[in-house]
Amino acid sequence: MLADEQKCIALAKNDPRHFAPLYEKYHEQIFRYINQRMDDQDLAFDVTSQVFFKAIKNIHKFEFRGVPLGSWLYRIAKSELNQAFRNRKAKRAINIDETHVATFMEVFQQEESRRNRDRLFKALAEMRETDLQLIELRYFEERPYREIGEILSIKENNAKVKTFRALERLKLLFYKNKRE
Amino acid sequence: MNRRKVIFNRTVPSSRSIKEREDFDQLLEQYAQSKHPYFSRIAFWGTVGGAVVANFSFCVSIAKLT
Repeated sequence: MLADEQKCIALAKNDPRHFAPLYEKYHEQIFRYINQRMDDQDLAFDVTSQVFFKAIKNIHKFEFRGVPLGSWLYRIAKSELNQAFRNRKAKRAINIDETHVATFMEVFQQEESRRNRDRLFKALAEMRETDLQLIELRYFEERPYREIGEILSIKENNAKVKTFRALERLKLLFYKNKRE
Repeated sequence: MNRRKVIFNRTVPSSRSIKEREDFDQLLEQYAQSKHPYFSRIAFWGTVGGAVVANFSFCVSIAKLT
């Protein structure tokens, strides 16, 4: 599987038409990653196109050093998202559903009430961007620490420690909102 | 100032609807366009040509006056 990918990358470096299977493979997951963090779906499609344009343009720079192409694309997506937020084209959004709320309530050992849900939303909105990224990658998208590390350019163990700390900080914000 | 928006239970687009928005040909076209340097574009030569003609006519009119 990975060998096929490497073959496609090698061919795409000479002829961009060979990028097609990689585009088909990653388009949906990159779109979902972007859409999760944006409030406008059409804009999410535009940013996704921009990610693949950057990827195809810079594929000659890509070298396989244990980091799969997917993680490289996520890094481009992260940078394009930040660019879109900086240009104020898009608003940073946090997409959360009932399952995620239930998970956090279980972790915080709190009952699932509307008031607690609102406190959680407030806490998420107040979080530092770096912490929020870790929470989204781990708890919303359920990615393994290895992949989180690859996306954020940190070691797997470091990703684990940082995610744990981010969760602790979220918990503190949640309880602070509870006291108010 | 907090610019984040929390969206609860948003409808997730289906794989099919995402697939429908895939357009590799457009991506290739965009890539091909980016490969052309500016001096090889019609817009560049149009501007340069226009400027040369304007300069030439200006010089001719000045020469006639003097």
